Amino acid sequence: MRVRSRLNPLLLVFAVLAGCSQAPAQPATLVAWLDCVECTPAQLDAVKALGDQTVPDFRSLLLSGPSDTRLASERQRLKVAYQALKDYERRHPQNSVQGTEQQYVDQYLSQFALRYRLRAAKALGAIATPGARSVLQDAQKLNNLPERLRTEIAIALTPPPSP
Amino acid sequence: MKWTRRGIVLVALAALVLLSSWSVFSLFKDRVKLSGVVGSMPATVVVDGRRSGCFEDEKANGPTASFWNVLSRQTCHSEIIAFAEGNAMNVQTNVGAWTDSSGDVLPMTMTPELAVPLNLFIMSGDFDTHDEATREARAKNDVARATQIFSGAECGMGFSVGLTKDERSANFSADLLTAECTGNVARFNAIDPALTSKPGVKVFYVDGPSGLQGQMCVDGQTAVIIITVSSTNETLAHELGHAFWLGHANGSPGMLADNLMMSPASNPGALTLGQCYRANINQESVVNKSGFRSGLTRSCPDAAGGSECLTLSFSK
Repeated sequence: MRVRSRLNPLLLVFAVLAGCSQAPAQPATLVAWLDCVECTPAQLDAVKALGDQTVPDFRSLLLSGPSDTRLASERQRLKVAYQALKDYERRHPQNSVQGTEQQYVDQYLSQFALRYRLRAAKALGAIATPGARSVLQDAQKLNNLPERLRTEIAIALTPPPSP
Repeated sequence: MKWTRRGIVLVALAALVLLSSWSVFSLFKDRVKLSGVVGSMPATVVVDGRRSGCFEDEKANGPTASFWNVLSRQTCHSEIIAFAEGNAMNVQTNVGAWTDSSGDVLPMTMTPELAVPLNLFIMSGDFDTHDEATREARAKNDVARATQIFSGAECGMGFSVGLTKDERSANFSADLLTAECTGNVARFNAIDPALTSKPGVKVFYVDGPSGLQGQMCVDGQTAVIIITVSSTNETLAHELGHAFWLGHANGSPGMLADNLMMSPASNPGALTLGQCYRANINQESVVNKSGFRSGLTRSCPDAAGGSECLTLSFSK
């Protein structure tokens, strides 16, 4: 009993600290927009409706890419997929996967990061508040942007045609 | 440790009880025996038939699948569907071979799985290096992943690379690189008419619009698929799912978060037997329209159930 009464506050403090050290969860609407395969106008509209509250999240995604936590989980997912491919290849040698596990992960992880940045740019363009546009303009100043992303930012900053 | 005489007798008795109960159980069993299944590949057999009443969608693992005594069909729907990794799906309808006695053994001959050719057109290189070979290597790994997902799920189909062509210098306007395939099927086909008219599903690797990882568009008897620089290692498999007339699985009862046909998807890769069945049986599936598969077709939208359509979430 004595042990328990000592441990509980410690656990509480640990839990609070652990909770503080994690990145805040992104709203489901934002996650849906980032992970949709064929995104619908409704998914973009839902993000747009959140307005400025999502701008800090999209700023981070556009300028720096996905968080370390998200990259780590995607990396792990790709490793599992590679192992599944190798297991299958052992049973069906004609279906071979090209490259090492590291090469496989790198191939797809860079596209994953690009997707999050492209979608952040498009979302900021749709939100179109001064704060959102300012993030897009900041991103334009980066000199190491992939060409496709630079194009997307330019499109996002283009005002919609007047009706 | 020394065995006592009592211990030996007890062990022997237990073994006897186990053996006799196994043989008593097997007395009441019928079997479906699959031939042509390679090695120890996983297989699943699904049966509709009659016992005290009609029953549907009872499953057992193959290649020799045991079922409690299935009676003669009378007015019941009587069907056997066999799935096996490396073999085409096999459906036997109007099965009249079950008798009221147990011990029936119904043979089913399995054939090799369907090989669906995919023709890969590389219209843009790697997003970072612009290198064609990098994009082509990724495309081939996309095909390998699609085969592993569909064949490994016992769908009875795999994919082969029919042709790969570097089309970066082909005659098309730049806007096609970021266009959807919707409304642009003819323009995609026009980049290389001699090759896009060859049999197979046409897969175009493009920059793509940012809201798409990929997209599938019907093109007569076949399909045009675009794969963008936002794609994952499962995007091609997902789009092939659409070409096989599967819809998004979000919101469908019983479908798990790791299903290939989820969108949004954070961890896709699995297919249910209900989806495998549809990919094969749906009239509108590219495998039937393009003639890669022959045999029974039905109309089984994702929401359909009943005796002729396995529930979408039906799993191994």
